[in-house]
Amino acid sequence: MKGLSLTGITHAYGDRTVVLDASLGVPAGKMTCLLGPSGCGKTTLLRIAAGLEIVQHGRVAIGERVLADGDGRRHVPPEERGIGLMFQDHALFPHLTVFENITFGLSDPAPGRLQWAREALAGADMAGFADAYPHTLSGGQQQRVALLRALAPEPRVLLLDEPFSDLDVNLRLQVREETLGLLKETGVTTLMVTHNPEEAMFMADHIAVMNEGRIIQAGIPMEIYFRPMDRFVAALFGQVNRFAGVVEGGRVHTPVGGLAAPGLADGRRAHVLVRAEGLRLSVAGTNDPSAGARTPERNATPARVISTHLLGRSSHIHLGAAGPDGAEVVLHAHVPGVFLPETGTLVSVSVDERQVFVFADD
Amino acid sequence: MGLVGTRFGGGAGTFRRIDGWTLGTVLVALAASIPIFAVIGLALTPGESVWGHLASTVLPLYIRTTLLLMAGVGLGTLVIGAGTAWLVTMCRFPGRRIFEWALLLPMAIPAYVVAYVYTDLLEYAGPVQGALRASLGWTTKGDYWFPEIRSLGGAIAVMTLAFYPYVYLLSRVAFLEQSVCVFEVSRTLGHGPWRSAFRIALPLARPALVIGLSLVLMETLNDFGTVDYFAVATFTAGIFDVWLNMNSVSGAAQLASVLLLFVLVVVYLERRGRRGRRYHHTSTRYRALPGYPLRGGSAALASLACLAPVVLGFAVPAGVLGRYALTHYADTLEADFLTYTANSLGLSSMAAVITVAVGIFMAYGARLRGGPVVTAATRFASLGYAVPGAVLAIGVVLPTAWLDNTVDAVLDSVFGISTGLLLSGSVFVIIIGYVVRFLALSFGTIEASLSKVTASMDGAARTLGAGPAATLRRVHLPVMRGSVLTAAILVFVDCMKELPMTVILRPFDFHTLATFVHQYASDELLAESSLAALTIVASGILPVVLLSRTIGRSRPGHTGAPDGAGATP
Repeated sequence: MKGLSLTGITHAYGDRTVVLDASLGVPAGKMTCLLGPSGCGKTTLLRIAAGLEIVQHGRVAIGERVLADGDGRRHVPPEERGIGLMFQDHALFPHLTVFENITFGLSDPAPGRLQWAREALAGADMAGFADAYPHTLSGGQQQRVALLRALAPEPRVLLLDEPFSDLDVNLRLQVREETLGLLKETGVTTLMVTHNPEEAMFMADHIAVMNEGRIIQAGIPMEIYFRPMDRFVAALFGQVNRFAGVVEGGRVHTPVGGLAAPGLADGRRAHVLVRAEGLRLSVAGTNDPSAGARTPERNATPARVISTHLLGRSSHIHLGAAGPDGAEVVLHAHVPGVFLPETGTLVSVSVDERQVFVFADD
Repeated sequence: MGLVGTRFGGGAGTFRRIDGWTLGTVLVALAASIPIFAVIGLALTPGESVWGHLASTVLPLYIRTTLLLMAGVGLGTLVIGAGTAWLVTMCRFPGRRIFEWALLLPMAIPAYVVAYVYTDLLEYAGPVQGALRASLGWTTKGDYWFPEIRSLGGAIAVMTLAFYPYVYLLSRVAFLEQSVCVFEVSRTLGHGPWRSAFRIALPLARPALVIGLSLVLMETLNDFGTVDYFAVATFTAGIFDVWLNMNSVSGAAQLASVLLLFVLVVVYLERRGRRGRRYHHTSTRYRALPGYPLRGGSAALASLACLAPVVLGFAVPAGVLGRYALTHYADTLEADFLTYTANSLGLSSMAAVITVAVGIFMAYGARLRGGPVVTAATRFASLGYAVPGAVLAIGVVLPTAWLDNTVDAVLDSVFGISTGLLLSGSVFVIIIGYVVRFLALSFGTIEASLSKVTASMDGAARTLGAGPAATLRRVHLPVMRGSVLTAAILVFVDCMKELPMTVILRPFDFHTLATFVHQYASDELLAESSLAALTIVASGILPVVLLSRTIGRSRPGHTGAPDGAGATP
């Protein structure tokens, strides 16, 4: 495998450990996303890979070539690694034109690469901006220039640090697709850091989830979404309903009914997470599948609408249901389309089993 | 895992490796600190002591005079500097736009030149008293009272005129920064403009005022030309007296170490002010200032209040020198003006180049390996600006003499060659003194402009294949070009004006424009040296132009394009 590998990385700033025994493989030619909340250590991991931080413990390698090892004894400086890094703030050089920025990394520029830079600029609809200075560019244009600059020296591995966070929502979607297209076209091995799960799902061939300095789970997007290994990963993709209970007869009793607890012995305490989009609602007496409501199922639970919020493409509903001790429990449901029943309406709630995750309470 | 905090204690640095940058930065910083260490070291070394003698004779006088001078100049510059800054930022009256930059003009004239000019004007034989006698029929000194300019009061007046722009500059910026919201809030809460000024604006500007004041006091302690000419017995004057007239270097060093205590207090004030300032940056959003329109009498008073310091601190001295230069330029040329000019230009430009180079090296080194050791070393090395020239001169003379003697002794014993004194008494010693004294100026300017290069720009250059030195050359230096030039100009001009160190360190019979003017003026030959004095003033205009350009850019509502480098956050 010619990809990038980080093995057993532990890193601290002073007394504060920010990365703890993190191992991560970035397969050659693929896009890997490092997904996690702000401050979880993912940017530090990226900087370690680039050589901007000295490895304190662990190993960085591309294929068989070890770039950094142990407590800083071996440290190939960043300029000799052949690893490109695109920064969150783009970090364009303010005193250089767009073209000079892109060709900054080309020592002894081969005519072929200069030609590539011109064509790439044209491909990004920026042919006319070659001689412009960065501060005259829009955010999206700066992002494109930063990406082309990182790609120009043909790095063996490209690292992207929150590449779209500066952009507003609509532009972000467009630039995201362009970027993905360009990366697929060049076939460069890529590691991208993001805190946005949807972005990771959209871009990645592989996702590694990181929290509090540790890599919690790595796999293809389907695995991360449908087979989360713990509560953190399960809750990563949006709002969840959390219940606690004891396993009885292979099931945990929750306000939305008894839910299967595979692999957990009877008598164990368990946490149950149900994604908001895993609750299906139907209003008694109506049947309007287009609004995301379905006919009541056998094991449906009754609940009362507390409030509704139209989000645009979907609706968010707060429901009150009877908890195990009789007290009312608030449920969050997320249904596609416009579904806005009156407050107080009785609905029946059923559960999409694929969106239910049961973990033992350790 | 048990790893936390044990094996990974000190990994704060980026690119941490033992290499040339860390070592070089610390070494350069240490070298620049040698003069300061030398003075402290000599003062602490027991030996031939003139303490007893000094303490019983002149020491109390030195202390009292120095304190009075500091108090007088401090108060005067605060009132004039903060007052005019308040007027031009908060009020609208005729000439305000011009006064905004014109109030900086007195910076161009060194205090000692102001002193010579006013002595020339106001002494018994001068035109002012002459005109009074002629018009009022007085004939002798006994017929009337006239303030004696060559006195402590005169020194306070002269230095106030020369140094108030420091307070003006800093308090003006402070008023601009804070005026955004708090001031208006205060008004909506029922305080009038005057009450708001005293309860909100002045307290908020206090850190800036303290910094300005501490710079003024450093200059006051540094001054030699004025106090020497006016025969005011301050510490600096005392150091010269003990050294040059009593011929006691260690006595001078002991005086210098007491003076360093004064300096320590002032530096402490300044550092505290700068720390306080961080918390006082309430907002970076500028909004149009209230701009109270003044009318009639109050407008005339405001204009007058701003006009007076400019006329007294700049127009009169420059005018007098200009008139003398027209009538007496031949005398100045005859006195070898061209050689002195060449000496000044040569020394100042060499010092500027070296100072800026060292400043860049230290600032970049501190940025690359910003550990506590490097930071402390660079901070200490840039203390030179606070140390009076006379003290620093002692600190330069002693180590160079030691080095010369050591080299001579070693070569003599090994090869039987006597080298004599290589450095001592040469112009190189002057340059060393200039570099040490003005290093802070270049280091500070360059460090500030380095912040325009973000950490990720460093990282981008590195990952694109440029090593640390190539990154400095291809990214930092081009981005900082303007600031490097500014730093060079500031150092150059301060070297042109520098008097106390040059007087002590210059080789025998070697003159710069400053020492030439000082010597001639001391011999009552101001007119004959006026062209030289005017040349110093002309070079002093350069930083004023630079500063007023900055003022133009920073004006709220001013739609000048922002510095291109500031566009990427």
